[in-house]
Amino acid sequence: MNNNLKHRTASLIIGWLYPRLMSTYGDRGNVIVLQKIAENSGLEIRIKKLEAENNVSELADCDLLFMGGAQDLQQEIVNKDLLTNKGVVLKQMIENGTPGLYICGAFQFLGNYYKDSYGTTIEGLGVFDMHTESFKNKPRLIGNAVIRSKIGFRGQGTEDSLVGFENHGGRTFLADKSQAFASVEKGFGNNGKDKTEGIHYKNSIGTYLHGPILPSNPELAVYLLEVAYEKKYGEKLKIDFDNKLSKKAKQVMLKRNNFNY
Amino acid sequence: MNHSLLTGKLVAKVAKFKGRVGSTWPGHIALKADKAFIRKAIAKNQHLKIVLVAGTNGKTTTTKALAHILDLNEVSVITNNAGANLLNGLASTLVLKSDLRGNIQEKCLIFEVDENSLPLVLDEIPNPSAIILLNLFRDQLDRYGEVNSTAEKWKKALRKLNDITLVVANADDPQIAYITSFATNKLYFTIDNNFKKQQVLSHAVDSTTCPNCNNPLIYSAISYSHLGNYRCSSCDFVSPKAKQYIFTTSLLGTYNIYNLTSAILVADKIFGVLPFASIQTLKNFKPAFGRQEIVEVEGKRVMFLLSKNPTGFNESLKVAIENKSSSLLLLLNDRIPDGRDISWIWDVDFEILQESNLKIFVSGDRAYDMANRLLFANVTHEVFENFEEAYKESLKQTPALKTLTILPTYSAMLEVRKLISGKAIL
Repeated sequence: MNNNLKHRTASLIIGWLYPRLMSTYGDRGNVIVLQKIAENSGLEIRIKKLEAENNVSELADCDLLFMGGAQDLQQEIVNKDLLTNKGVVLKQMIENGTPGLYICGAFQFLGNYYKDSYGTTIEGLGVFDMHTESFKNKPRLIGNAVIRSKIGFRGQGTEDSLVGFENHGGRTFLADKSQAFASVEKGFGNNGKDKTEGIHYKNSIGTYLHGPILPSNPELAVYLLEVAYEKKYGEKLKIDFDNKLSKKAKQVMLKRNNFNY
Repeated sequence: MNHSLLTGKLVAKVAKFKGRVGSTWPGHIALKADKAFIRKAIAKNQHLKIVLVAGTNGKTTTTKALAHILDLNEVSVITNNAGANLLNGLASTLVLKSDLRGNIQEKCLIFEVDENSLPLVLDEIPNPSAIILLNLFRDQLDRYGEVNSTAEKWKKALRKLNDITLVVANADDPQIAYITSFATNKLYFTIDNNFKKQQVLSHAVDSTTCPNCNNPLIYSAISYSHLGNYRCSSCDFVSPKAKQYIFTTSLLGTYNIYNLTSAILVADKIFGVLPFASIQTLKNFKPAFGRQEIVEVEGKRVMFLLSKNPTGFNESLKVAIENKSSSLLLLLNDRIPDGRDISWIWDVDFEILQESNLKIFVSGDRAYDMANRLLFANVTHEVFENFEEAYKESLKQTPALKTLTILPTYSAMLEVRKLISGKAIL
């Protein structure tokens, strides 16, 4: 039990957006890690699965949001639900500082628009000030990545380097590069050019990193949970978390890429 | 044609001389010399009956099972080596099996074909006698892309087939059933409902929505992953009528019932081998390399279950538990043949190991990632950085006469096999 926990019955609701449709690349791992770390620190956790058929009212009481990547076809269904149903509330929550993690396809959705390789523009939710383009003759950006975040993470001895695996055809361009979640140390990042990776807007993080990102970098999960707690209870929580295995796994990948840790 | 064939043969000789079994090089060179090498080789051997086998899981076992049936029923067969299932692998097989004039003696070719390569192969071999479509699962996203895009490519390629080709398709896979619904010459296969006992869809499923209208599918029975008896909640898309056979096999796992069923069906319809004869011959069928292969080491049984994607891995875990293995060695590499992205281990339901008595050992290039996955699944395990140490310790802790089951990714399987036999296999 975590000594810092002031509210003995503190609880958080994690809203998992579209687990059935948007869940490739082991995205479930992110939710498992959030849940386990929170439970180990004495928080009561409820995972709420929010599918397209769930009512938007179920979204509003979530304390932390997660949405993963998907196949193109499934993205279509989700896009429709977001734009016509849950989008307004989701946008409001993000603007109000509800923390969240949005991976790959989800990250792209929250931008202003997505232009596919045929030149068709698909409207996004317009929460993140950015857009994504897919080009006909440009290859997918695939491979292991190391990024360095400006958020000060604690407790893993690997400082602010995050490891993961990216696999995306679209290139994302931020309107304001200072909003980047991280800088690219190795890999492609948002577009393979400007060294930005993801976005950090209010308390929401968008990123291209799979791996999945939270099992590979549990300090980010700790960060999200702490922010969610503070937002809900108005006071800080320090989650003690020491995971030797994820630390070692990360060291293997950093070492492979000649990074010191 | 002859020029490319001879060049290919020369390369094969040199490769052999240098002590390497050149399984794709001769074909690579032959195709370099003549892009139409495969088409010409096939045209020159009009007598050949060709069967293509495609699917995410089970290609190698199905190919081997069909070859086994035909062999024992006096139909001479050529197959490609597992792994040599791209165009260059097929070309290599043709190079090696042709005489210097380009003639092939055997009556039949059975080729397992990589998912991505199926459309390319159908361009070169436009009208095979039959094509077996086993399943489509999420696999190595960095290499294959997403399941839907593979299905789309297959659908396009299948539309070009004419009536000569019999499409033999898994009725229980909604994607496969859908993309083959347009074929005129087709037969579906399924398995007995007794094998469809899974209560709920596992996490690692890919086809939960109707391929026709995108509404949710409703399952009345599930065998594993997204395979089962289904109907659409909205349109009239439903499991097609399908053939099934009743037989017993020493092969473990529900997935193998599908594999063998498809082989029996093709043996019957294309080669006239009656199902009861096939079933008889399959009684002494030995599984393919690394697929439930059992070797004896120091009076203990070591079983290999090649496990390289979430669905395959889930089924392998079930086999290890049902088979009462006493220990389990998980070997996770992330080299190119394994897929460099290992995110998929989080789609595997390792939680089922909590209830088992298996002793669990972990190693491979990404041993700590696997160990971390097990930690979050509350599964006790030992992790080793050193591959050899992991193998030795897991064997040591397996009692005499008991089974150590090894679940390796592709490159890890080659590595551990080398360790056991003392020499390289491929």
